[in-house]
Amino acid sequence: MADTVYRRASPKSAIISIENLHKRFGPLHVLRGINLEVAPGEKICVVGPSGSGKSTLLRCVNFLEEPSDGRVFLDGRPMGFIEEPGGRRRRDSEANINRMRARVGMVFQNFNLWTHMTVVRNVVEAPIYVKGLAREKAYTLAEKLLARVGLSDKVHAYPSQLSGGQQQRVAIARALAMEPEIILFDEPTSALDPELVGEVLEVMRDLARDGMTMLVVTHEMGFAADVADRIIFMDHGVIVEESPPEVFFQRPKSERATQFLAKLSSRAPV
Amino acid sequence: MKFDLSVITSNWQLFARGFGVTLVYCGVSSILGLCLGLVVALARLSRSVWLRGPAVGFVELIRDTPFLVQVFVIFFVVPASGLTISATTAGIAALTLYGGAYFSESIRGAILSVPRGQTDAAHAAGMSHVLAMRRIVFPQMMAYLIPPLTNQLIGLVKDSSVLSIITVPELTMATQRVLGTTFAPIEAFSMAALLYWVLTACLAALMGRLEHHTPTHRAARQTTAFLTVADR
Amino acid sequence: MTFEPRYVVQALPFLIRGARLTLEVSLFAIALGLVVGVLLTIIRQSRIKPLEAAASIYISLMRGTPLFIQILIVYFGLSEIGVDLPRFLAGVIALSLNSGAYITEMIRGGLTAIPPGQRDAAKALGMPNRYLWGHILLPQVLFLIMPPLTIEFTGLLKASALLSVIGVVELTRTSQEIIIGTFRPVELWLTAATFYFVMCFVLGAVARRFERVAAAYRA
Repeated sequence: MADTVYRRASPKSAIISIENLHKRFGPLHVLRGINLEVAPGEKICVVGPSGSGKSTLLRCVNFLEEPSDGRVFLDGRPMGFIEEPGGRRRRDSEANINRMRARVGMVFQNFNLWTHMTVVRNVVEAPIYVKGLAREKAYTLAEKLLARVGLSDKVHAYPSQLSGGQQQRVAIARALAMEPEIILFDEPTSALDPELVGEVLEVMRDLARDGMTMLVVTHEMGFAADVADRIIFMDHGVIVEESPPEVFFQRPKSERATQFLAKLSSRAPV
Repeated sequence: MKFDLSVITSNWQLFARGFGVTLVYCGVSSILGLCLGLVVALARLSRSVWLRGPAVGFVELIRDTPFLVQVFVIFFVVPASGLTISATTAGIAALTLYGGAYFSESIRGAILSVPRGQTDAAHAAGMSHVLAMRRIVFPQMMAYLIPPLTNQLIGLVKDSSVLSIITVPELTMATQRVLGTTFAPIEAFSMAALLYWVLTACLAALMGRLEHHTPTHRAARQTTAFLTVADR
Repeated sequence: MTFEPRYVVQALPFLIRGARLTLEVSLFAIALGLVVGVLLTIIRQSRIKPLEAAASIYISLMRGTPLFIQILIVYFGLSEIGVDLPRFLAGVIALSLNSGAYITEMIRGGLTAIPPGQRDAAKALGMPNRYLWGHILLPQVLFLIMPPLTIEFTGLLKASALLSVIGVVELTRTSQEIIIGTFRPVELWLTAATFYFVMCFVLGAVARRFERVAAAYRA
């Protein structure tokens, strides 16, 4: 692993802290020992070639995938597992896992809006049924959030009536409605037509300015360069390089990052 | 050969009563069978082998033996273990187990048809399995469930005629009673066939309407309406 | 009441004979059902409106009414019009008339899996309809519908139990007759159920095999 030049959040203050994370799917070793800490307010972009394990990393953070080895801490508490005396671990109760997931927002590549519900019901669903928020409060909150992502006029539309960009903005509002401490973005613009990417990135920039803690897997290098405090470059299941954006994009330290960036710029001029 | 309509007209009460009994038997067994089917489907989808194994075994057992033999086993073999069982109980039990096994396959298929991302999003928002099932999966699976379920409900209605063999007084039994006094099998059975036909056709129409009211179809309808407006 | 294996052993030769008849009646029924299915398919493609309508009503009736009633109508109907058929034959006819209605739907499904370009190609070559159907379409369709046809066969195997009512001495009727002599319903019905289970289970495995082969062909 590369040396850390950039200041790392101290373990105590970190919102998310990942220690030696491994994930195997049968014979496939997708994550091979990931260590990462995310401090409050920090924006981290994870980049790398496809198949490098970026999405799996995010899915392990909120336990949508069960890590094969290693630990994830949310606010100092181990996520998904309970350590027993003697070093053995067992799966935490479902209720505990859900409580912790509720504090971590997630935005998916394919939006995953609930297709049988209107936009506003997508947003109020989890606050009402998971957090027990009163209906009126949830709807007021939802309308505020939908206004924030610029979709006040689509409150009662169904997801299938919206463009991809609009759907992704609803998904961001849905994540925000739980008032999460961090939001995980799993390639939020990869499924969008090019002309719709901008509106989603704009909402994300807005969130970043507001101080939201964000862990973003993305191929949008411009966004990463603008917004990220740190760039994590992953390849073959390991973090190859971890640098501030100005370092990463101007003079990457690793050979593989250099090749990766060269390939990108040859494909589409930045 | 003459077709003697008086066989039907003079025995319409018998036919009506038999029709009513068939309706009740099928209604009760369908509801019980759906509950059973849901439990079996969830067991088959569970992570535990101890739930999955018996569920698979039960479905295979029902699917790989004739309904008639199942009826005989319930009516003649179960009492040998000391349990007294009336024709009514045996009939309802047989239809329920039979329906439950087939329904469970449709329910399982419908649950699996709901895209993975929908439950991912639910879990990511902190929903429990039960809540995600209730709020996300069940409403969405209805659209996938209704077409195969329609065929199976029709099958249940048709196969309920077999219960006449253990003297359940449903439509086929009633027809045989008509036969006992009139000796006009063609007329009597044609009338029974017609009544079954009407029943299955109504069932198909009813389920078709129901399908129109699933959350998924409501959403789709809204979308089409929106598109027509947008086109203008 | 206990389970006495010796009654099973005693009954075994008769049950095996009954099971053979069950298989035979189902085999004849699926073969004849296939003929009915093909005929219905041809009628439905004939573009002669009254014929098409009649075929549709026939299919709807067969699928919308109990097979049990159909069996009784065929059995009593044949004797009423003075045709005295052996029970076995009456049973085969009843089953195949019913099965044909389902098989024609399978054929319809199979036809949609054949690219329309093949029809166009045949027509472009000046092939008459007879050849188009006999040499191009049906052979492929019959291959494609092997998996559902095998499942239909298991369906007939199970449905043939109903023929016991009209006196066809297949597996179920055999069991009934032995029970009348021995009063051992537990042993007999459980054994009969096991016979059916084994036959259907094996056929189910065969169907899954066919499905793999057919899937490979489609791809």
